[in-house]
Amino acid sequence: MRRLARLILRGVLPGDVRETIVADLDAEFDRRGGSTGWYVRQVAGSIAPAFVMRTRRLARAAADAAQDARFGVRLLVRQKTFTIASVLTLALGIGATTCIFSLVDRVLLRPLPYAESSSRLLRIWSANPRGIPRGAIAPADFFDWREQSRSFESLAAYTDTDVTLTSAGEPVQLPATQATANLASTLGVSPMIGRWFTPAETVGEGQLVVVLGERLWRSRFGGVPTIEGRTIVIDGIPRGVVGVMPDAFAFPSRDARLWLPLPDKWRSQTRAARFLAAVGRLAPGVTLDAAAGDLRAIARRLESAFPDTNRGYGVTVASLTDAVVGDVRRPLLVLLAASLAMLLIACANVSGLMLARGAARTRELAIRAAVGASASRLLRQQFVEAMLIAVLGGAAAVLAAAWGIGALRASLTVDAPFLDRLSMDGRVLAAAATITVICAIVSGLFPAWRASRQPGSEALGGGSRTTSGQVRVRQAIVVTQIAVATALACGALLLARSLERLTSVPAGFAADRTLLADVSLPARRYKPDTRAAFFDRALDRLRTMPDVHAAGAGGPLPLSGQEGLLRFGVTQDRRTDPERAYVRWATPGYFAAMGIAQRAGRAFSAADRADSVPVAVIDEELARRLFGREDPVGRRIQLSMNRGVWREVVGVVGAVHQTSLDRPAEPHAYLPETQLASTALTFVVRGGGDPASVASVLRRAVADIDPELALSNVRTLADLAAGSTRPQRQNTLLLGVFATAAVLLTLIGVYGVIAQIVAQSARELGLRLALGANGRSIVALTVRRALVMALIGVAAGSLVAVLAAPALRSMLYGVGPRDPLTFAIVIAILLASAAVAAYVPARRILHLDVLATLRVE
Amino acid sequence: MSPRGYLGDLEEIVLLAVVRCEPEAYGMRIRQEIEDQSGRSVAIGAVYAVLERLEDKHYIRRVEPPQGTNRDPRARRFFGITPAGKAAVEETAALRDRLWSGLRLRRGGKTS
Repeated sequence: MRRLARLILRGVLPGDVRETIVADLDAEFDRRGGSTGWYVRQVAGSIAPAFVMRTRRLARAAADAAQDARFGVRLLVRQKTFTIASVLTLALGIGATTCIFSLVDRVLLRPLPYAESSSRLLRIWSANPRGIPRGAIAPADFFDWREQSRSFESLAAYTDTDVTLTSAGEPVQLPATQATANLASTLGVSPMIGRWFTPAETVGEGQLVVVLGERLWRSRFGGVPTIEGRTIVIDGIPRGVVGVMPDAFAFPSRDARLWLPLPDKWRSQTRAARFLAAVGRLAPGVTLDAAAGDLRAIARRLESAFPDTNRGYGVTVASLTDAVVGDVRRPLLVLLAASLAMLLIACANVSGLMLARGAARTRELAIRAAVGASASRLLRQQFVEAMLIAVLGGAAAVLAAAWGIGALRASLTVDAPFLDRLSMDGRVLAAAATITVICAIVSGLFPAWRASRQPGSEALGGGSRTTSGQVRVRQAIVVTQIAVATALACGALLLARSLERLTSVPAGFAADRTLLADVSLPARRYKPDTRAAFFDRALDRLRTMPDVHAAGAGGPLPLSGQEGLLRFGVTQDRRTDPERAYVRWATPGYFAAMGIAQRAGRAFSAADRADSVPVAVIDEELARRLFGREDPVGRRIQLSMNRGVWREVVGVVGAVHQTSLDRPAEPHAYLPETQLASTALTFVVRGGGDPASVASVLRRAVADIDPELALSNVRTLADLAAGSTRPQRQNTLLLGVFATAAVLLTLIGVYGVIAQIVAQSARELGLRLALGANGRSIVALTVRRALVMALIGVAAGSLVAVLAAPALRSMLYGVGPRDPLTFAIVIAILLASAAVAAYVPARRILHLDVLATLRVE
Repeated sequence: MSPRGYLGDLEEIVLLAVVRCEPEAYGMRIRQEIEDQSGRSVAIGAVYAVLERLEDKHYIRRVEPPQGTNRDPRARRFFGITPAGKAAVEETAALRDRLWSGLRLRRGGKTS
């Protein structure tokens, strides 16, 4: 009972009097000979007063804090330069970190906007025996997986396509997705209007139905709620709208505008045609590995059942989140680390400023201590000041970040989903607030502690001289800054050099002054002969334009990201083993318009018709692989997609990079559009002046020939080429900005510490000058001090960079993560600029008023 | 916290008890003194709360413990009255005297 009472008493009493009172009570209890009743009554009577005491303490702390804050604000207003410098520095660091955090949060931290159990969603690929682990799937394989697998609650397939919509306005070409009936339910997203396809609607050829995306519904159909049941014309065929999917669905990408049923009859196609993508939802309790094992077992059975088409084909499985954000995770984390490094440097700068100011305030603090302020009170007051600066910096940072996030949203085209929803929301604000508090602690606590320890009688007497210990602390801070800046600058320069290497890779085509526009000819209305006539007429119109050097159509274009992995086996007449190559279509004029070099033979011409000898043009890469040193022109090849047709090689053209510049050029085979029809081609027009006027001529020409056709994706070849290196450009730019800011802040830090050293030793230096010392040698000595700091910092930073660089490896092209030249450049720049940053304040020594400095004492 | 410095009931009692106990005026001793004089039981917490208030008003202050007392952190806190405290007690007593003066109710000797 007494123990419980004591426990309660200890609980309610404020900490500073707890032990005293309990000890007092216990002593009296012992003296009285132990009446438990008395003890309990004492405790009971003390509970209310204990709370009174606690309230008092709270009120006192609040009053103290308010006083500190008032004092702090007065001080900050008085010391405007200090305040502005500190606030801006912190705003820069906090703002940048907040921006990058908003990106990381949006892309990496939030779950996908699908079902609540999105951790159970998987992406599934066919693993290609040629070492491409994430390949497309053949429809028959997919349906077999779905029927035989026990690991999935549901397994859905889809494939991208392009359609032309002719209802409700001008014809327009739209990206669309053909999907199985269970795609929406697999992802766990319900339509906002109507319904998704039913399994009955995918039977056979598939029913003529369509599901619209919210964006298309709003932009094209005015968002009318009665859209369900309406008939719209897609590729010349009327289809009934059964539902509208919300914008958040956006699957498989932000581009998808509408969805069509994926016809079951595709199952009867050859397993060699692989073009489906698949997602699955794991059954409860099944792990990713178990599901992968299950699918691989099925794939092995298919391998033995269909060796011709399936030999070597396996299965790759990854979580949908990994599949969607996998490629951008590393760059984002690198950027986050870079922004944090810059933030650290900013905090260090503010810390240095506060230390310097603390030195100047030594006398004030000593006076306050002398009139009874406790050390903890002084520390708290200093800390409140640091907090004030951080909060001001944080507020400015939020404004800067709001702008920065808007700029990122507008300019970033990282291949990551949901980026357009990037915004300054509660989570980002909370992060900014947290970063601000951490900044206050990092930048303020040490100077505050340092300053609160200062007061002493010697400070009262000694004026505002700094102690040498304080300079040592600032030097240590600057060395740290230099180290961090070195590491950051090494990373940024590595990326910049890698980008330079990447953009200097010849793409295999000439990107200047060339306009592109996609067109898709609906198969129901265009037979092979009418297709050729269409392209002939349209291209003839273009070629009559002034200044047009060449015009053609073809595709899918290199670096366009379209059908990136669709490859076929190519065999030559004297060898049976196939080489895999991208098969591309071209009309006469395509190679000239693209600026793809003709190496041998000829390009396609008007003489290559549907009924003439089947021909092909191959690129030098395929020529090398198929024919080695032999001359390919006049030889014959056969394509796995078009078996039984031997094509004569009429020409060899230069190699192009199909997927990206950082991979070697891949083999290509080109077919004349007249002999094997393609669904969609791209017009390529070289020259002709202003791209906008070329585009309008092209539009008019197409509309004259067929008013129901739409051009889409009008852009220049230069844009296309630049787009392929955009992620690298963005990473380099952002990291470069961070590194530059970090280096500048560091130089300011170097400047500051040297200025303080000069100011502090003004008396000693003045004395030496008065005694006839050479001013220049003293300046040199001071600069050398800075250089020693810089050397230590650069050495430490290089070490950090060497250790951390492998993290950058996957982001680099043509330059090693420990590239010595990069390191040498960074080290040279930092040492040289540190010397300059030190020289500027050190030069003041030459202008010291010797007598004045001596008179100070 | 009377601005003029008049003391509350318990404040006056505790302040006077501090004076009576000096130089041995610490929490439990003061509590005992009040109990002895008034016959009514006071909780130790209440005494401390009032001591704190008086200290805030600068009527009492901490004093060095008498010789021979140990100094561990749980040690007793000893208090002594300040000149301001003396003035406040006198002021309060004077106020009572003024209020009482001329009243018939007054019975001899009971002024506290």
